[in-house]
Amino acid sequence: MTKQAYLIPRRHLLRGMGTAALGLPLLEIMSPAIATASARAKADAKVKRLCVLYKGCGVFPHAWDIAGGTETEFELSSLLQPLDAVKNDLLVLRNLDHLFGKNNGGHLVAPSLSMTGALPDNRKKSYSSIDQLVADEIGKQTPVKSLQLTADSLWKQHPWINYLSHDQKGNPLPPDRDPGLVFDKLFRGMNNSSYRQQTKSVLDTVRESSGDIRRRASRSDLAVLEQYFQSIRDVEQQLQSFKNVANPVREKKLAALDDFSIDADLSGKIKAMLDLIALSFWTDTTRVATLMMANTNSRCTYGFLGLNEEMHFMSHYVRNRGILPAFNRVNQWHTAQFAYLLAKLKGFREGEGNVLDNSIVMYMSGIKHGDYHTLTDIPVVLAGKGGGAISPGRHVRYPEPTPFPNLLLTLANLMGVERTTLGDSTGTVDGISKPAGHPMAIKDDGSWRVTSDDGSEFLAKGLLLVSDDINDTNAYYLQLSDKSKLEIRVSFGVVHRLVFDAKVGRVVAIKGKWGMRDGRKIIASLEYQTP
Amino acid sequence: MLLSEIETRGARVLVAPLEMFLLLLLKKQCFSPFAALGLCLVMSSVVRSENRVQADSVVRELISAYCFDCHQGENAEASLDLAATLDSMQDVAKDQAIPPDLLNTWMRVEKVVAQGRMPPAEQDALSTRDLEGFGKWFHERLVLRDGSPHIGTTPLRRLTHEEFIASLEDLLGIKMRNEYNHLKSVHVEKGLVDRVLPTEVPGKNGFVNDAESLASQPIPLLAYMKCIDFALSKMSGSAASIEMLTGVTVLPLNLSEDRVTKIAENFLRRALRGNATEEHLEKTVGIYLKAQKEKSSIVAFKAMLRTILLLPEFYYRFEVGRNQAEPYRVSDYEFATRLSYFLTGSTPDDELLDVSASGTLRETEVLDGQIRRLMSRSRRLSLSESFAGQWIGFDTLLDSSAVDTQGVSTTARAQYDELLYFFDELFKSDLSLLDLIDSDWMYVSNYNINLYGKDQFTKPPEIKSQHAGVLQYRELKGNARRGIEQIYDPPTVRGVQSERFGGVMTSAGVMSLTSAPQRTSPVRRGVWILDRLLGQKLDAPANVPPIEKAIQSMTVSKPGKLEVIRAHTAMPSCMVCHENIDPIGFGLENFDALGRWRTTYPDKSPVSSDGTLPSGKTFSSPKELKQLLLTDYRELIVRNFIRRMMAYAFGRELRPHDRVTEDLVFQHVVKHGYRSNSVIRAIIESPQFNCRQDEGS
Repeated sequence: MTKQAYLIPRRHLLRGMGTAALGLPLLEIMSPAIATASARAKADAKVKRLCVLYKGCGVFPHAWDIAGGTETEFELSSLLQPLDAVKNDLLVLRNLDHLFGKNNGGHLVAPSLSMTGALPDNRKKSYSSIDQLVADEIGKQTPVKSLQLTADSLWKQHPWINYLSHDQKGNPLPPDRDPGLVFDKLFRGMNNSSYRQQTKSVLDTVRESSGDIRRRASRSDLAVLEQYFQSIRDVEQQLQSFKNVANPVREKKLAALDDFSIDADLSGKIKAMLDLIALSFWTDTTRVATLMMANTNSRCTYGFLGLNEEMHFMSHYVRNRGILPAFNRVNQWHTAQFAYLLAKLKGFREGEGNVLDNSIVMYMSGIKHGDYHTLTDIPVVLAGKGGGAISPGRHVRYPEPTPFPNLLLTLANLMGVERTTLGDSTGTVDGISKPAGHPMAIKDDGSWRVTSDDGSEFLAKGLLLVSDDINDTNAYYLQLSDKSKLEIRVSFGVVHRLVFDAKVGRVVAIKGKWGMRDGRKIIASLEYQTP
Repeated sequence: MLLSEIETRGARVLVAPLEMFLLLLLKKQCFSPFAALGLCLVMSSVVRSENRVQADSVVRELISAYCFDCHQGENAEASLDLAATLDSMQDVAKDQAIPPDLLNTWMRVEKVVAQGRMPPAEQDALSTRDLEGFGKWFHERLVLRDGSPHIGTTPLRRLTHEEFIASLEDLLGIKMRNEYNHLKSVHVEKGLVDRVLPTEVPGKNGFVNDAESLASQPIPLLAYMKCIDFALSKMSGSAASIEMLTGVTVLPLNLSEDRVTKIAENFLRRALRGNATEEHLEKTVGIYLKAQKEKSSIVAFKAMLRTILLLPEFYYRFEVGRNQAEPYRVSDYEFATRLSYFLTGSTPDDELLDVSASGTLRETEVLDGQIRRLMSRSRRLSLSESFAGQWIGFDTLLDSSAVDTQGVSTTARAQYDELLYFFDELFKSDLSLLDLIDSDWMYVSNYNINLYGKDQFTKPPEIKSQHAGVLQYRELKGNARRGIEQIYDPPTVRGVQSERFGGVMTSAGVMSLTSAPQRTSPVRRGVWILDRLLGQKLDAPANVPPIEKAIQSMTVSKPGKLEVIRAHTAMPSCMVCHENIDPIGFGLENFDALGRWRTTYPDKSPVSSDGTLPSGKTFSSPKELKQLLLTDYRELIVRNFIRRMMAYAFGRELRPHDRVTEDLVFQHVVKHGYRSNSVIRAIIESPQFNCRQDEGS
């Protein structure tokens, strides 16, 4: 027997049914509730979901990148550390580039690049974001086609940095900002049949008395007015879709939802939005969602972390190295929010697995280096199995720089969108559905070790790394084949002269001098050796 | 402003008599008013179709000499093939509007040429004669159409959220937002309507009322419905509202069909602003009668109003079209609607509708009277809130969503109010636009006055009222005030006696919105002044080179923050813009991020406000900067204000064809001593405001 069981939190059970319900072995709502054969067949088909979480302003690359390891055996970097508990649900991707071959296109367009695979002024070609392409395909099966959320404010001078979602015409879809209202929209209002009835009759009348205005309007005005009539049709369609999906399972789930309380600060708002995404996936109210946690020129401050600088200011850390730990902490906090959503989705059982198994969650920042706005090796992590479309628990590094739009196209295809291009894509990427076997750039051949040491001077070869401790941005490490790490503490002048920023994550041969710090043996100075 | 100017204002005549040319424009019944306008054109040469070809070939010679080296053919620099662009000019029929893409290209070309950025420094610059030649050609071919001025296609305008809310309030006689709260310890809370409606994005005109931008954003129909239901529930709970709508304070159990028809007719006329039809009436009365069979009369009444308020004629400022490319006058109802939304941000009131129906609205005395009346309504605050708020950007002071505080702090709220009251005073008392740069009066909040220094201010000039009149609802007096300990005090007007303050440029609000939370940003301030006050909009840099390059080139061992920025922007690719931005921003370093005066930085190093303007003149204090702006940049500042207000009034980005009107309004405003109301009056008189034009057949 196929189990189509939905896990209802036990407290709802207690509250809803009274104590008499206790002891019943299997309540109807907790067991297969879908009666007819055709309905069961439909329900058995994998219901896939897509969620995009975006945080702007890039990262400190060395704290983001996973150094070393293999496709399946690897350690999470410091910024990805909060995801440790769900490591097997992750697919970390490397070496994907925006604006292929044309680096440094400016960070303002990063959200567009990340979602549409093209610059905003390329509208004439194809300018639809991946979530909307997917929603156009599968959104009709749920009451709400797709959910667009933002936790950041609107940057009025450069509107395009605010939007992740764009429809087929290239028009941005304004995101919802108030979690309480989104809760009502998704789980109250239209779910009520008398509300639907009443709304429908009003709209019918409006539509019926539009003859006169249509006749008297100029041609260009008529085109604008048509949008209004279209929006009426859209609402009518939505009323219909809420009616169509009315079924006992969903209604019971909705009835079981607590009313929603939201903390006023930014962290409370983001948590509430992630909860909404999880709930709407679980109740199958929508299957597509995007959330902008911080836009690409974000003025968000993180007082709850004790940080009162603006996100965008912190991201420019090169000339202001002291701010780097703060920037790292915010980025790590964002990853923790990603982890929170994954845990939440995993908590909802569905069929043999859970909702995360049937979802693709994409977490990304539109640029790599927070200060230089680089568009190469974009930070992106996928999570979930997408109903079998993804095999997670891996770290894939494409051997050659690969266009980011190719990933978007691949994911769109996996979500059931049949098309051969998306934005500036040149094809699809491998390594998503099954292991790709791409070699890692850095391979430990067993030669990383100290080769000579006279007690004060030494020669060594190893992998240069930044500190795991995001607060300690002055420490570097040389990792050896035996997994031990030699601590490097040199002045910033040396770091600068030896261009550590370019060497981190690479194998270096050095000639160094030992020193002591707080009783620990450290590398106190060094020069590169040609290997 | 000089004291003598204030004294002579005395009676505060709102509108001075208009110039002859503007009157002529309106008096023309069959539409050829531009003949009258043409008299005043600075460049009067007229290009008829037969010599379009010749004009184009003259300019082609000029452009080919300076530009074709780089801008021709498939591999043209910046993908700009000027030869092809010139060719496409010939493809446009003489009475056709220039296609938007083509027009944009020429506007770009004109901008870089006028700013001297093209031809590039290493190439020959345009001679004065050639510059004039290009300007003349641009005027003839791109400002004028077939030798005559025109107004471009009039877009259909949807109500902004603010206009929608104000209209609902006025139509139903209700308040949809909470009273501005009186307790200073309580933060300004956002009401239902503000939470339910999606944030609007300003369009190319810089305001959320941009027709094109509104048309490109999805219509939040469900949110509208939520607001309407909220408004109707307020209406049904208010005897005064019901009386206004039906003539009785309590609805009887049944309304006769006659009564309902009358009520519906009246409401349709008000809500649809003269666009109601028999069909509307029949349908909406039908809804009432049907609903009343099952439900109470108030429920049926609400159902009827709900339907009317969802008609497109309410959301759109609909104007009957003719598909005619020649401008033609709009009807009086349509004109009244434009007037009302421009000045009050709301639907025309009953008196304005009555005057429109009588056909006398555009008689000068009647129109002057109506403008004066509208400007004395409390809704005139929309000019300060929506127009000035978005232009100056002080509306963002109340936008708390970016920060994780519980709401807006008293400081930010006071800064907002200081600017709001300033602008309302400017419009209400018809003060000079130059007061925007420097004034001997300003509004100061009790909460912030200690930040600025009490000794900086004197008693207010006699002529000023204690508060901007329409804002009195923000004050509590007498009994109402008793028992409330920490009441919120709105700002009051004061005389400025020091060199520090005066005008909006150095207001705490502006100083704060151009700063980061804990530090000032000279670059943001410079950009703000160039863009918002001088109208010199700069594009965001696409490619910022790393700061190390700049640091490496520095001779100082431990450079300070400002030195680093200076070195950074000294790189050639940055200099192009930053040589204009930075000196202005540095000139305001005496104001910290809260608008407090300072002479040293937190690290005790001295603040220097020295700077140089692009004109080469130097200044050493904010006051001197203001003086220089008023002397060297006065026309730019006034024209920028005019353009901003035109763009706000027309609900669209200005195009070259609007320059004719801009010039005329400017002349008018100069003649009237830069009075704020003279801008309003001249814009209302303009052909763009009086007429429409379609794409043609």
